[in-house]
Amino acid sequence: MKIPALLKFVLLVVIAYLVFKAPALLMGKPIPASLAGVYLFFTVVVILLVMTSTDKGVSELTGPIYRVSFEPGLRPIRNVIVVALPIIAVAITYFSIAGGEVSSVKLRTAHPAPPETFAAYGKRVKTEKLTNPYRALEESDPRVFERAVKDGGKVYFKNCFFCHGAKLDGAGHYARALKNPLPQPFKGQDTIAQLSEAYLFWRITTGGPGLPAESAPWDSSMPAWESILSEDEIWKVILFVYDYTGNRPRSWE
Amino acid sequence: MKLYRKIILLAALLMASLSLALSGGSATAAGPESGKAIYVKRCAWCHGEDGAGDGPASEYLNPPPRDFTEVSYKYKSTPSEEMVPTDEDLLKVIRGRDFGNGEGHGAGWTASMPGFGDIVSDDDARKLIEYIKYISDITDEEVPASISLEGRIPSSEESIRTGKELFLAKDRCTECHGKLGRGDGRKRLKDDLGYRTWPRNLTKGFSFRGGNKPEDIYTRVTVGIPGTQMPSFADPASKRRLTEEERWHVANYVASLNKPYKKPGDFTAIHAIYLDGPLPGGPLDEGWSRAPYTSLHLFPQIIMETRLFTPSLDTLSVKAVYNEDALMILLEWDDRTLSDPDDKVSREIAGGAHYPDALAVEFPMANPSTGKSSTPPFFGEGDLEHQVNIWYWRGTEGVTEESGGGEVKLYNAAGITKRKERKPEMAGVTARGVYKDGTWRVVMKRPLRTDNPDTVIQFDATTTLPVAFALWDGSNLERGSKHVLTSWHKISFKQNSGYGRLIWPAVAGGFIIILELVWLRSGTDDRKTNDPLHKKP
Amino acid sequence: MRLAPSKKAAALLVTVIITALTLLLIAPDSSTYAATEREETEAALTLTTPGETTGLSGINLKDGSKKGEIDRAILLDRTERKQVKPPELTAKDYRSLGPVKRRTTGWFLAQIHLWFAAFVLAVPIFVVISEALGMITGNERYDRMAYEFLRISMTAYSFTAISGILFALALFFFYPGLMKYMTRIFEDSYVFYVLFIFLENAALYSYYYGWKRMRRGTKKKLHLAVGIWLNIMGTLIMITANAWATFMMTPGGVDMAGIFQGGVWAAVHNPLWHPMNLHRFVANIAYGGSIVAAYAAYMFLSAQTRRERAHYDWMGYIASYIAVIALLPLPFAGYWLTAEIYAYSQQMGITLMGGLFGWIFVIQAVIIGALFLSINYYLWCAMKRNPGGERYTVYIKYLGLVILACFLVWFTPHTLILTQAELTALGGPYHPVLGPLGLMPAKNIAVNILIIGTFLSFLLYRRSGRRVPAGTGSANYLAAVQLAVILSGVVNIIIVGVYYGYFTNSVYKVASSVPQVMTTLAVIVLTSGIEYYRYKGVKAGSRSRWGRVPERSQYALILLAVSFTWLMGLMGFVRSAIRQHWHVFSVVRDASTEAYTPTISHAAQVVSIATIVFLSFMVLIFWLNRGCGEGNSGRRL
Repeated sequence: MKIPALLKFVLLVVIAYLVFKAPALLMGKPIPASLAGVYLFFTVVVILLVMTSTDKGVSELTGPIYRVSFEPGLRPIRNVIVVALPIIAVAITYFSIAGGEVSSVKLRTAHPAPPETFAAYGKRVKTEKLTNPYRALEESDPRVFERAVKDGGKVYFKNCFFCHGAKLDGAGHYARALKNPLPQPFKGQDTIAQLSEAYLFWRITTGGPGLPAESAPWDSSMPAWESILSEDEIWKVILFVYDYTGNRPRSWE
Repeated sequence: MKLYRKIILLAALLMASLSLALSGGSATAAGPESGKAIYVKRCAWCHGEDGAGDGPASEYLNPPPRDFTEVSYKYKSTPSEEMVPTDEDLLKVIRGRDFGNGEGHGAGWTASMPGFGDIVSDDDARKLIEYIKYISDITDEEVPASISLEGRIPSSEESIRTGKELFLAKDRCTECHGKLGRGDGRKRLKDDLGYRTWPRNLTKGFSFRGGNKPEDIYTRVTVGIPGTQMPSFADPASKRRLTEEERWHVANYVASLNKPYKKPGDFTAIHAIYLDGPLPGGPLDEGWSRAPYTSLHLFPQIIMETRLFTPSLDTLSVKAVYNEDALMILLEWDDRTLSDPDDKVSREIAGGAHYPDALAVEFPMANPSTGKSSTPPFFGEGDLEHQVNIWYWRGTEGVTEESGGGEVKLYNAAGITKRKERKPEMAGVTARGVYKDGTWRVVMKRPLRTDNPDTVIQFDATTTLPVAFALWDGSNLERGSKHVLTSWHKISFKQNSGYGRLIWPAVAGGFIIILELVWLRSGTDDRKTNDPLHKKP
Repeated sequence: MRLAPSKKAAALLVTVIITALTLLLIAPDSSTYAATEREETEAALTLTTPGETTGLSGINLKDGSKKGEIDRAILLDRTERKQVKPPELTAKDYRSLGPVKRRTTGWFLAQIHLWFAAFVLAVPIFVVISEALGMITGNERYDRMAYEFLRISMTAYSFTAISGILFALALFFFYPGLMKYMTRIFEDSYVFYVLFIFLENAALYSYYYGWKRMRRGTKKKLHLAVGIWLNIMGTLIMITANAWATFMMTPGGVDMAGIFQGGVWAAVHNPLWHPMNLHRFVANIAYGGSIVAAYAAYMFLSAQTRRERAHYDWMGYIASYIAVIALLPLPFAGYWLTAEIYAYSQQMGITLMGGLFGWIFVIQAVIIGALFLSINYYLWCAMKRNPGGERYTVYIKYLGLVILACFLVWFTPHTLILTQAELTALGGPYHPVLGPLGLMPAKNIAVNILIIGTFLSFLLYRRSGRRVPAGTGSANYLAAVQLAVILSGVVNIIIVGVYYGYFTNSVYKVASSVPQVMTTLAVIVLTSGIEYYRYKGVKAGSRSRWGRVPERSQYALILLAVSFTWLMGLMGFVRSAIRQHWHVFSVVRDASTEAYTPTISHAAQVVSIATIVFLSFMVLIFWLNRGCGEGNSGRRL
């Protein structure tokens, strides 16, 4: 049986909608509404483009609409639709306005550009020249390196895991109180694997107060660890977060 | 056409073999060592290399991590005289998602241990259990059966009433959990290792580590929580023992104590409600019932020295109302102690010298949505460029009376070390608090506008406004920088008129009607040219 | 040519005003700029190793360790050496004009000027190509089209001049302090600029007015040479102005203390100059193509006769073809530009790609995707031109699916825009499914397959105009090989992308894009080769019936031009805005009240309004040309 083009269009849009809803329904991990809206929009556009790429497609798609609009015999259906459309529009608008708390969208940059130089431990350091003194040991002396990683783990579990989590997933036992922003996770490919060790050093030493305005420093609970941890401890904890999550720091070459 | 198919098949085969090669062999070795490897990677940081509960993190956790060499497991389902838990009990804690309504151990509400179900597979969890039992010297023959939940009595009004009587009788539960179950007992508690513990607040169901469904609660009442002062009420030797049936009634009653509003929600805006008339008279006024609660999660101050790692307060519930003249905020939180320095019971619970409970509310000095700068101050007492107003209240005199008491102080701050006291009269802030049955209710009130808009926030009832809170529990020895707090939340002023929400729907409806008219008219006037079916270039 | 006197007047006016301004500014300057000592010296950076090279290019003259380089640059520089200390600007160094917003005005005028300039520089390029094609093929059509293109650009030329004057006036009026500094450095180049404009003017008028007279034989060849000369002059004008703009981003010839040492050549030959020249040159061709295609679409839609329709259908096809061909190498030119920005200052680079402006790249991705969609739709619709095109319409839905999938991956952002509820549900700003798709490897895969998909649309379009080759064994065999090449190419792109992108460290991540691009190119070249061989000797079907394309396809061409315009404006904003609070990056600080980065929404508003204004002017120009009579077809049918 051949499905009428208009019905086919509606079905395809419904299927696309369900596909974009699937991560929310099946995994509890919704695609953000801002993005899902754009996805759906372009999917509808492409479906329309494909369906109208031939004259036959255009007439199949729009034919029923014209018939319902202008054919004298279809007046009852037409009347129902003419009345129903404004009511649907009113209802959608009303409920989208009254639909409870409007949760504002957060345009916060999680990983802003680091400054060219910054002050740490009484010195000015140049971000791009900064390297982890322990990183070279990974090749040259793996046993010492492993010990440094372990030391880093101890630093992590005495200072960081309250917020960033025992699983390094940004869900420590105080994280629930820090909704805006949530503590950064380290696991996954799209977190610290995109950053250099110097970047982490900058973020840890200067903390929330060191963030630029686009990253909302006023909301960040991250301390400037320079006052609590030593330089050595910070380099070691950086080793640990990469090691535990199986990520590699980014290098520029 | 056959050739096409062959090529497609070939390409598919190539792809499949490559993806197999990439995924690599994920074969795992079996044996006790494999359990140890997982243990060292995931568990040793808190529970210690040897399982003695002495990992690097242990000293920052209250309650401390389990000591596996001691065989004292808190959340188990075997009878109280048995020390050994079932494998399923351990699996539940490791996975951390099988409790009650998903709000138990591992859900991140009160226990420090997260659920590892997302990164440790069930197979690996079983290996871990084998390893933990090996450390604890538990052999499989020893593992007893779980207690039976067969005799379950469904919750009913009658059961809850019976449960309540049993709860109150003989000071059975109230000694620690308080009359209304808010954890406001009269006893200082400690666990077997001497660490201080706090009785559960039974009105906060989400905070039950062992789960909050009646069968979870029944299990706790029956088994107790080993290693703590929560006893088994099935113990025949106990004077307060309960029969199986009675324990179900108590469980039903405890489950009924849950106050869902106390659980912090995802949306953290505080809705200030417009009142056409006078504002509520005090903390206990009926008028407050017109405003909704917003509950916020609190975290201890671990940003700068001296830090607090063992908080006793976890949530704060807020209401706000306003009229043409003033804004009034109600802050309600459960605190297990009054923390009156002169009170003997308070002193006993605190274990010596302690301080009054206190509260602070913080606003930016200039409203970021209307003021010159669109950025708010740093939530921790502002920064040099953006100052904050702080309303500080301390529960000193008169707080046990109906009408409330306490003292107010006002500060402006430009950073944690740059705080300046101001006279309360300057901004017209008044505050009164009452402590009753384990709950503080404090109201703070201020005119919407003041004479000194340059140094004091003006409440413009058309915008949202950042607000942050801090609390001190004096009997937990909190004062100065040791306290719990929130970061910025928002107060949004709900408008009194309801017309605004009708305008846009009307516009949308009208727009559609106009479109329809234009469309239908175009068809009747000149159908042929508008219908692509009939149009030929 | 009724408009000619006004055009001449405008051109004369430009020349006079620019000369006057130059003379005014070259005059010796009595005030001296206070020398500023840098507060921190490199020596204080104890954590860093002194003597290390900074950038990949090694052209960063600001680094102390590059002293030798400076000397070499100065030695190579034959122009007169001078020392210019950077001015320490204060609020007094800026003029204001009532409620007129200084920055927005300058920005708006610059943008309008750049669009017109891009258009008038690009059009002569394919006017010449088209004229040459006409000469080679002997097909009059090309010559007619070339003349018509040129006529459009003549009108646009006066708009370019007027907007350029307004822009220059705005700069000198609002930013006297900065312009004084720039003039001190670049005064020598101003002379060249004026000279190039004179020469270009001369060439343009001879070329345009000589068209009819120099139609045959040697004269025609001479005419073509004039056209080439015109293009050379136009390009020289562009690269001179590019030097000024790129100097502000990556100042060359400036020492550690920010003092300019050396001649004008050192300033002109700054690290970003060549990447910018290339990027703008290629982008201008693509842009000019898209505008001409939109013109053709506009003329097609308003055409009165079948012949006009056929002509403008053909013109739209050729122009969009050129636009797409020029669009393809653009990402690589962009890559070079970005790499040089990173090499000069990593901070500027990260601001560009990872920081606040990261959002604009999401918008960019959406627009580029929209460009691809427009092109594909145009090709699908255009199959109607060819008798027998229906045979291939069944494949459109599969192409649509592939292109949609690639497009969605292509614009999935790395940093998601989340509401509080979503943030809580995800437990952080990362998504388990979208996260990996937001990374570069996924985008590389998507864009390569997108290009292959578009190529296939084009292949189908080409085939729709031909007869099916006879079903012999070897032809079938070739078809299978062709399919296998495409399939294995796609598989290779995916495997290389996934393996190197996600399972190795970052060094290989970047490197993996090269084999992917090579694969794409190989697929296109091999498939085209086989296609040529397969259809060789097969009789072509009846000729394309130009003008029979459906009207809706023409809207795709108009969308192409609108997207291009908007995209250029937005990316131009980003390139300029990454200087942040500097006029000249790390040398001259912006001390005006607008020394902050505007919000993205403000930028989008300014660019959108400018786009509307510019396109309105373009429509006006198109309309003026219509009024001028149908030069191409000669007579109404």
